Amino acid sequence: MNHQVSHSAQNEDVPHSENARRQFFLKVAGAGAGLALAPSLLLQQVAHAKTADQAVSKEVRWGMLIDTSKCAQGCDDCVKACSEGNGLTGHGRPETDVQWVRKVTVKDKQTGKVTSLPLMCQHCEHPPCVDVCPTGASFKRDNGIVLVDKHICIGCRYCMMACPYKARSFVHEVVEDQKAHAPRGKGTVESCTFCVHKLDQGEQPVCATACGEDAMLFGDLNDPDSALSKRLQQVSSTQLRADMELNPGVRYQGL
Amino acid sequence: MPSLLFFRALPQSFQLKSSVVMKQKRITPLSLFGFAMLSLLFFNSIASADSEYFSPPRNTPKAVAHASESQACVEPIETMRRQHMEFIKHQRDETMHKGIRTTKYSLLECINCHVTYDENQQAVSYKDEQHFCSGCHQYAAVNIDCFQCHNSKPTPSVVKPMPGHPEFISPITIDMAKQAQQTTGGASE
Repeated sequence: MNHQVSHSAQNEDVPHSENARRQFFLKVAGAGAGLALAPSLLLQQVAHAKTADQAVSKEVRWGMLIDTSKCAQGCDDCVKACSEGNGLTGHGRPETDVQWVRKVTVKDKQTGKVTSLPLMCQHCEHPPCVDVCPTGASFKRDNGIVLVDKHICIGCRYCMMACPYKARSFVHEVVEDQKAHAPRGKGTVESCTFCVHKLDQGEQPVCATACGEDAMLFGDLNDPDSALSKRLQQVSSTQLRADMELNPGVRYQGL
Repeated sequence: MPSLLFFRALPQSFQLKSSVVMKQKRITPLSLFGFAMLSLLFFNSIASADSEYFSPPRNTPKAVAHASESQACVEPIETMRRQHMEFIKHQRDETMHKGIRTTKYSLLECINCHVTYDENQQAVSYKDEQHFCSGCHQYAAVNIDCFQCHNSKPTPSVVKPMPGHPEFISPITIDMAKQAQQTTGGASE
């Protein structure tokens, strides 16, 4: 905190043009350093691990590639990991219980091919849930994650209506013993956060790490050197309902 | 009491003033009376505010450890008493929208530090009167809903032993150790 304060004070003293020049230099230097480090570091871990006091950056856009050919039918490791990791407790009422990620089975009627895939918030670039939210609770972070600010969510559920992926759930019942990192309560809408508490600390979402088939690849779409971007360059992938031009961050391979 | 006295003294002073002022500025006796009453009320309220509102409240619940006189909170106790909600709210927006997860003003850290244990050495939830937040909020008749979503119990991996816990170390001892470190550090420099 102290560090931040002194930093901003310093910036105020510097003339505007000088400041801009400095920032430009920092950016260039940062990019150069990133390029130099890229081959050795970035493949190993989630890129751009930020420190706790840093704000998220627009230069990152988190995304995911799901290989449906690897996704086993009947396997719900990702769903279980999500429920466990985020403390999503159900009441044995599937109609109203909260679910952030669900397994969907689709069948091509002409060929009879059956595909199983996990479906969660697609973290759109142009999220309709954000467009319709009357309070601004539904928002997109700079790094591309679409979240609900439950402090200002009034539980109107417009976003649930707007989402073409049926990705959001409403919390119908009182929640107790939540996970400390995933606060959730009755009367608000919620959805997959890409495990934002983990992302902020440079870790991957639990579903991606839990997938035994290695079917979920998580990474930075904006970073050309990330494992995700490289895989996307090589394989053909599709966005669900690409016709709506929402540009989801989650893409599917083998559909 | 003062207002009663005023009423008794009213007729004499009232006549005197009105005879002088009324001729020049046409101030009616009624308005003069109103002004006198208002000013009396004003001074009265200041006097009572001095004694009741600006003095520290009595019989406030005492914070257990990690916020004692010897080991302060993240800000001076007086500041925290008045402004903790603003710190938390600011931090909440920073975390939610910018992903800044420093712990100094986070609600999580409040809970981890100010945890209280019941007689069975279990951390109490906000429903219990012993809970640090609830104890004071009940006293101040504040009804906040942090804990409808946030867990009011500490994270087991982060929690420090508190009074009532077998592994508890008195904060005063910790402070003395810290001070010793600081003084030795200062001497070496």
